[in-house]
Amino acid sequence: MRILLFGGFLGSGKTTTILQIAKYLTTIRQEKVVIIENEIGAAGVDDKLFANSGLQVKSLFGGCVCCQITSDLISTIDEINETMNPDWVIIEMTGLAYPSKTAMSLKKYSKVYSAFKTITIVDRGRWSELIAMLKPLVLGQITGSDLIILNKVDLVGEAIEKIERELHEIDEHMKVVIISAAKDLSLAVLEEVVCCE
Amino acid sequence: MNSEATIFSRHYCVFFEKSLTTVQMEILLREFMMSIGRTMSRYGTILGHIKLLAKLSELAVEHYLFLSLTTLDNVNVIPSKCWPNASGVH
Ligand SMILES: Nc1nc2c(ncn2[C@@H]2O[C@H](COP(=O)(O)OP(=O)(O)OP(=O)(O)O)[C@@H](O)[C@H]2O)c(=O)[nH]1
Ligand SMILES: [Mg+2]
Repeated sequence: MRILLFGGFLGSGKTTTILQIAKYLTTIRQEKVVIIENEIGAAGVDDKLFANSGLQVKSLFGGCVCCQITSDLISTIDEINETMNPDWVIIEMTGLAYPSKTAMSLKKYSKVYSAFKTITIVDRGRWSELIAMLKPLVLGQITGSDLIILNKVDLVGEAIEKIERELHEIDEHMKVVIISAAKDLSLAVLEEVVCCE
Repeated sequence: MNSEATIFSRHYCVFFEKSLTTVQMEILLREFMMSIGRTMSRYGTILGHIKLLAKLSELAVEHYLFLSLTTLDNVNVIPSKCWPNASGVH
């Protein structure tokens, strides 16, 4: 069982991207996928989007501070492994969580996965504004990720090269893929995202 | 940083005296989203995500509209028939 952990600011395109990744895994690769949705607020929206797309989804409602949800997350992953035994578990973190912190805890305490990847989605359309107003959160979400997806490149916003440069100032070895999740993702992008050890 | 976040999340069931078409419903919902967005944007950017899932109940086949707002007045609407089918069954 491999785990893909998706983070990124509120509304950056996590659900939209995950839907495409999950569709690729289930229909092209014929592999079994379970989604874990950690949503803020009791009236879930994303879990219904996933369920209506035919995906199996487990919801974890609750706080958005990573450390509070980690024990629930670990037990949910264990339960999914025992009862459903999927090829993939895809986790959507809340838009306020720090994915690499959660990843560290999961790697430390969960023993049931064979490969793990942390992916942070960045919203091109709001990059400068979010960096100006919420810098510690945005940088904290990016730091330590295995892959950055620079999304919404169809929208106007900061120059893509400038964002890439700023991402590489945070970590010069950072892998960045550039997409518009509102459109069909290319096979090369889909394979890059799911490529993990 | 996280502790400063405000979360508002509710279910509402709204009845209309006269039935509305999906297009009329979409216009109303867009207005509703924009009015919330205008009070919450800073320099045209929503520092968060305003999203709404509307189940349109009068139709024989279940039908939803997903509305989302991250930049001022730019409501994105996706009807359920446009959501990807990821079930692996076609
Ligand atoms: N124009 C454009 N819109 C996009 C793109 N990707 C996602 N969106 C839209 O952005 C909005 C937010 O996308 P979501 O996938 O719900 O974002 P999210 O990160 O899951 O949001 P939360 O779970 O609320 O944090 C939706 O209206 C999407 O349709 C893109 O590449 N281009
Ligand atoms: Mg989402």
